[in-house]
Amino acid sequence: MNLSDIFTSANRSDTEVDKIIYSRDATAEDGECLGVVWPRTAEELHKLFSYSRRNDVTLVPRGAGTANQGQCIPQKSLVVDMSKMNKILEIGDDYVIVQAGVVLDDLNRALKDKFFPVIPYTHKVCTVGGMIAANAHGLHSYYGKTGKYVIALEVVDGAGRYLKMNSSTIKNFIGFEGTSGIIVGAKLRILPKQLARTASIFKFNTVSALVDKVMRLKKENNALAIEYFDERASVLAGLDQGFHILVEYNDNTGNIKGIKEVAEALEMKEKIRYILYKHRYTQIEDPYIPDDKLAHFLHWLSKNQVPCFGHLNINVLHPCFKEFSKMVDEMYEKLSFYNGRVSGEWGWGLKRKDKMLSADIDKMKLKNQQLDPKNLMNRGKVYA
Amino acid sequence: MPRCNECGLCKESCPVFRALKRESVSPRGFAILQKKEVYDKIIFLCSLCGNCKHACPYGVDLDLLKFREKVLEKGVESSSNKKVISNLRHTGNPYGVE
Ligand SMILES: Cc1cc2nc3c(=O)[nH]c(=O)nc-3n(C[C@H](O)[C@H](O)[C@H](O)COP(=O)(O)OP(=O)(O)OC[C@H]3O[C@@H](n4cnc5c(N)ncnc54)[C@H](O)[C@@H]3O)c2cc1C
Ligand code: SF4
Ligand code: SF4
Repeated sequence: MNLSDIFTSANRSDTEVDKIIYSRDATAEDGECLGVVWPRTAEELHKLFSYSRRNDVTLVPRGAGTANQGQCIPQKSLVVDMSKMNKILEIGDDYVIVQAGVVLDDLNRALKDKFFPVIPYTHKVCTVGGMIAANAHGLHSYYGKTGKYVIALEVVDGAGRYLKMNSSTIKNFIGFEGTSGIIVGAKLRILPKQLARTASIFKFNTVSALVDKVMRLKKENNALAIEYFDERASVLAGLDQGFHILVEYNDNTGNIKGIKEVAEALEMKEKIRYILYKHRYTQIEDPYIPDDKLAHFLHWLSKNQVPCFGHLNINVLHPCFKEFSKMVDEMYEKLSFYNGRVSGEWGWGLKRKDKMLSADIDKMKLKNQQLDPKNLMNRGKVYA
Repeated sequence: MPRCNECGLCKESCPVFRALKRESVSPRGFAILQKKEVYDKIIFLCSLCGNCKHACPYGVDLDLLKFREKVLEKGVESSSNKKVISNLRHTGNPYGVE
């Protein structure tokens, strides 16, 4: 069986141009792409796995390709672009059934008075399949990660089996970065659209005072997001000198109230990364740091003049570095000293697979022995 | 002018990408071709609408008209582009209506 027996000419390609472009993702580094296919049905995917097994061709599933740690960079693989499987199949009172390639903003527009609450920065382009495989975080960390809202999945696993997965088995696809199989469709929990939204900005002279406030806010449990701006990020975002947090509430607590005023305040949190990028801070990291070491870590970054913003209700920070900065490795060392994790948001992929904890690697390997015994899925990534 | 970092955030603003769902016909795809100096007639699928410039949060202007000119200079052209130019020269309109 050849690819031409499975896919029409419009849905497969091995042109040089496609191979060049699909050898990259948002990491902006090259891999080696053997070709691209755009499946339209689970049946095609099932056949693709037979082809892949017989010819030992490894597969890289791809949504919008916004992964920024090399998760979609093929290593002599065929890329499976899921963006043509983008139908919304059913909208219920508190659930929606979609194909994996649907773009999050398209989904939320169709949901009208309801919404899928995990909304990453990349919401305009990222796909539901990519979000599930990355277990993506949203701008409102209060809602938790994507996996929390997955009720059931339709998948073709690495062994080529078409499976309907329920709540006890879906976890082998959530956050697995495309190493266990291809997500074809998903049943997701949705929520009524949030109406009351207010915000407040708090200023502090020291990080310890700021962290005390964050701990109090976390206990109150009504903050949708607690966004951090260190003294450098604050000035660039147009705030005063000092450390700031921008708190977004799901009720009337905040002192910034009108829809327009709240939207203006919140724009800051989306814009800060672009402003820092323009100031040549092109390498942004995403470490996780536990509560008891948060103040120490923020202090260390500030002392070393590393600009930083981040999401303090989930303890994920975005320290920003200029290209080739030696401080990045020093930060990794500090993180390990403080029992932090190198990645709290963007995953491991190709670039950071050597930074993953060995216990996590072992767990993933064990599950994938059953789901992908021939290691055909996203080979070379995460642990392989 | 900032350089495209290939984040892909502008993709869905591109009418051609939305219709074809093929990364090679998207602003990010064209940006990669530009960076790698690949001169291919695929660039003629860009409608030059400029949406990607407005959608880019980093303020990147890919200047795809200039890239298209460069592709033409290399002697690469799509057959429809050739036809439109020839129609314009001979009839004054892109459709070739006498
Ligand atoms: C500027 C920027 C900001 C970002 N902000 C955030 C953020 O706020 N929160 C966050 O969590 N992440 C963020 N990311 C990372 C990334 O955008 C998210 O993880 C996003 O959810 C990925 O979706 P995607 O459709 O682009 O997936 P892709 O990038 O295409 O793929 C992501 C992973 O999922 C796998 N995959 C894709 N589709 C499938 C499928 N159907 N079946 C199985 N595996 C699949 C891929 O192999 C890959 O491992 C950001 C990235 C950038 C560049
Ligand atoms: S043009 Fe801008 S938005 Fe588009 S991929 Fe490049 S940097 Fe990202
Ligand atoms: S200018 Fe070209 S690449 Fe940019 S959005 Fe328009 S059609 Fe797409």
